[in-house]
Amino acid sequence: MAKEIKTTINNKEYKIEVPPQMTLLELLREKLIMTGTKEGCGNGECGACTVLLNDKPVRSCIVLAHEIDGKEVVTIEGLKDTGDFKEIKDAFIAEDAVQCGFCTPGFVMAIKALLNRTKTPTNEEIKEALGGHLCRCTGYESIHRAVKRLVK
Amino acid sequence: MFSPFEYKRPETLQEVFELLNQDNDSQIVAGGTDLLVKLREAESSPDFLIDIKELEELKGIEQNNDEIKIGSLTTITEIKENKLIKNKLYALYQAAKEFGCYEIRNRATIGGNVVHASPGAEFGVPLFALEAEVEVIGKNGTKRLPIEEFWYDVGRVKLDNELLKSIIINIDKNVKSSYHRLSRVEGMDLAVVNTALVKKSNEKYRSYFGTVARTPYRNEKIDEILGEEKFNKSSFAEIQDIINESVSPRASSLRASPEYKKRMVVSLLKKCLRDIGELGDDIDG
Repeated sequence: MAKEIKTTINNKEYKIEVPPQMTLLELLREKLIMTGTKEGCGNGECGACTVLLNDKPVRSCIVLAHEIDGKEVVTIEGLKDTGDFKEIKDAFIAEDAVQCGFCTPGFVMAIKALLNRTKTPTNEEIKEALGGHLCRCTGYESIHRAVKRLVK
Repeated sequence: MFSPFEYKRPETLQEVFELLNQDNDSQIVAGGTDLLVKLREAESSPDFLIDIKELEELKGIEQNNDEIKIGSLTTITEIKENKLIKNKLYALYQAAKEFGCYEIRNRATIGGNVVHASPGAEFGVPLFALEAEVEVIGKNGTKRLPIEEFWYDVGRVKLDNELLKSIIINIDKNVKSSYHRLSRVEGMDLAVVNTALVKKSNEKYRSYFGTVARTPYRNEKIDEILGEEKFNKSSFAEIQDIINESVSPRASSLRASPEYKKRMVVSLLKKCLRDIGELGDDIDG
């Protein structure tokens, strides 16, 4: 049975009817047509679908849409108009950290969450923040360098 | 999307027990990092999903005299960042550090890890080695039982329309502890094998090995050898013989062969001994 939930997504309030078996990722991509968040493995292993839920990065493919009732979600679309996004984007471009781009929204959300926690992450903290994200083209070094560039 | 179910988010334990005692197929969900994968793979298709995430009485870490109590809804991140855990129960800190990845640790709970009772569960071997007890709550109140009794088979724990409330560990009896695991990649993976070692206040050892049996495995003969006065380099050959004779990991494992697992748990035991300062520099590993 579909039920109405109240939630804030990218600073906008929503009242939406969602069926209980819908994931947050499906709600974003298929109902709200916010397709910036990607579905990779669908099992919480690859990180492509990472969004912020009450400021913490989570895997939206293993969060039920009903669980965001009363909570706040930020997706890659919500970052787009902020200064942080421009800085992260410029760092990715400068370090050639994007090739096909499929994993990028997930990485960017994880990096945003990392920089919210600390402005001066150590190498270990960067590795910890990105460790659960898979990239199959550029490799990880350029992405790591992009984060280092943001720290300086 | 998953096969249809109804979603309930009760605000009190009372409501949870009412839902659990109704005549239907219901499933508890906390962090959901295991369950939602199982739902997707249709390994589980309940009529009701009861989300207990909001129940404050199942959260948090506290110390009462010589015991540390960890609420079942405590997230792995909370365990990893807790000073008390790091100072007193180092093996649990190590397990939390290895667990999943950053995003998963924000959602997954220690209670979920325990009730799923997977053979390589991160918190299996350390909690068994620490002689943890679990507190179970049902509509008629709470009871306490040893984790070995609670977690009795692969994916099986003793819950009968009840919830796992907390995990309790005595910090006076457990002086030093260590946990190590082997996985194919560091970033995000499940354990191929894992090992935990605890040195007790009475100078005795408890070692447990994961993924080599249906539940975390202990062999008292190994713990006796670890405590011997004459313990030395060659003792590991003896320990290896005991492991080789006493366990037979399933050959169908996707992660490693039985032979490899048997060798590796002994290698991890060396790492644990080194952590707690009980391995001489003349010994490799």
